[in-house]
Amino acid sequence: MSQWIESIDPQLAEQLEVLRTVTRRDPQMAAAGRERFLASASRLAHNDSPSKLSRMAWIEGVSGWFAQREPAKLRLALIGLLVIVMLAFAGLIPVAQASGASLPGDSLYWFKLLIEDARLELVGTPAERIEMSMENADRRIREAEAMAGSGRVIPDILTDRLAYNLNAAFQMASTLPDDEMIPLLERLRLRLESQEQRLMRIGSALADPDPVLERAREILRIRLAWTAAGQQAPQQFREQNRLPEGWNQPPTEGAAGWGPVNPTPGVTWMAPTGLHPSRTPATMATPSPLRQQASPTGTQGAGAQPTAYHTLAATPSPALNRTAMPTGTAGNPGSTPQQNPTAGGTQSGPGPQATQQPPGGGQHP
Amino acid sequence: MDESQLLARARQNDPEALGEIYDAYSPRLYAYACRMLGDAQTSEECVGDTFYRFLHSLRSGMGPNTHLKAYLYRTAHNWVTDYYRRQPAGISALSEELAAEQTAPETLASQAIEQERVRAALLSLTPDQRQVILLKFYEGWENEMIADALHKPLGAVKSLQHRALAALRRRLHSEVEILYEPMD
Repeated sequence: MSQWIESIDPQLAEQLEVLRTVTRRDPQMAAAGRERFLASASRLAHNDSPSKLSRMAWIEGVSGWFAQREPAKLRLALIGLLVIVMLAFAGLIPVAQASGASLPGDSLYWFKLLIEDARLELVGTPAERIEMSMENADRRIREAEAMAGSGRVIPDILTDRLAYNLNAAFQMASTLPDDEMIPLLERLRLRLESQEQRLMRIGSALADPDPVLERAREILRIRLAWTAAGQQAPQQFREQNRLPEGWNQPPTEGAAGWGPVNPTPGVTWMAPTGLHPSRTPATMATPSPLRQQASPTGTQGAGAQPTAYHTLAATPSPALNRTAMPTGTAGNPGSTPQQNPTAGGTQSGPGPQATQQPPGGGQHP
Repeated sequence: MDESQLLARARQNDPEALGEIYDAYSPRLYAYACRMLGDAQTSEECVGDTFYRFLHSLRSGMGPNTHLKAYLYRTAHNWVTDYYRRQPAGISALSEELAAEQTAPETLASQAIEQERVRAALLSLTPDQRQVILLKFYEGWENEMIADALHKPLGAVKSLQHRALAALRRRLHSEVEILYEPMD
């Protein structure tokens, strides 16, 4: 150490030396200080709980951090950033409230979707995620009702998001064990039927068929088939709902990035099944094997062929099972000739296997 | 006794271990504080608060497991820094020292002025620079230990030391030049 002192400027070292000698410590004050220290230790040991002290230390640490001088610039920058973030959050609250009532095409709709996605990320259990996804899908239906009621054109984003919400629910459902998944699929089926009926009512109130609404209904119908098939063949349902790459990219309003990989928004999930909900209204008019076997009356729907699910909306689920599953349940007490016109049709109907084939058995270009 | 064992006993509120720690470090901490504060009573207050904070840290499950000396000096250093931040500029504690010493008044006055000048020069440094000089020059610490006390890498300590000496040289030499500047 003396080497170090010798190495510095001698004049400076001499000047610094004047502080080497300090006032002698008063022995009485030193003894009193020691006594106070030990008394404090004894008091702390008897009075304060460790948790209370931990809290105090935390508060002291935070306040000490803010009180420190160095490095002042960094600290000021962090404090400034904290203030900005707090103000931003405070400002976002009314925006979030206002966005809740927004509809597709509104300026705040993207924010509403953002909040939905964020909330979905925050829920933990599969059951909660499924419920929230289905609530979001319900919201899409309500949006469609509101837009149709006010005479507004329903944009594609609504169907894209509907498909996204439903797919999120289905994917989570596919992760559950059989004993949980099968009853869940039944509940989903009932809910989808309700949604599909609501869309049907909207469509019937319109003067002209709305292609976006029709696509939304097709999306629901396909998933209705999945729920029915999944109850019979859970493993196949899981494979069917295995996520394709990039599954977690939600469609956003005005997104321009669908491109060649996913040229039609909202259909990413349907590719594995072979059921193509993105068909145009013209192609949708061509009955699929599923419709051919289960909707003989053709009296329902507005501009679209009635499907098995229209009839099944008020029908117990065993009828759907008969319709959609290849195994055939013709002897099921819930069956009616109208829903199941031919036993052979049911036997060869598009159950889970059929969903792997293109609708119409490749009749569409 | 090994420092970590001593600290382990202190965590269990062993009065003997706590007393041993106080006896070992309080005189040096007092000198360290007094060098910067220039006042015995304030220095005692600094020592008392430093040990009280140490007690709190131990009780809350924090505090040092090793390098107790570095921890205590860092706490005392922060206390001194806070103290000067709270004080209005120009406060000096020399009067008490002048009265206490048994030296001739003129010698004391001259010595006190010089001490105050050096202290002011040290206070003009950044807290880290000041601590490096205090620990290195007056306490005789090695750079590695200073690095532990400041929670900084060794290279940063050397850099702080270099800058602190340059700043002190500028400050003290320029004052000398002004003091001895011939009058017109």
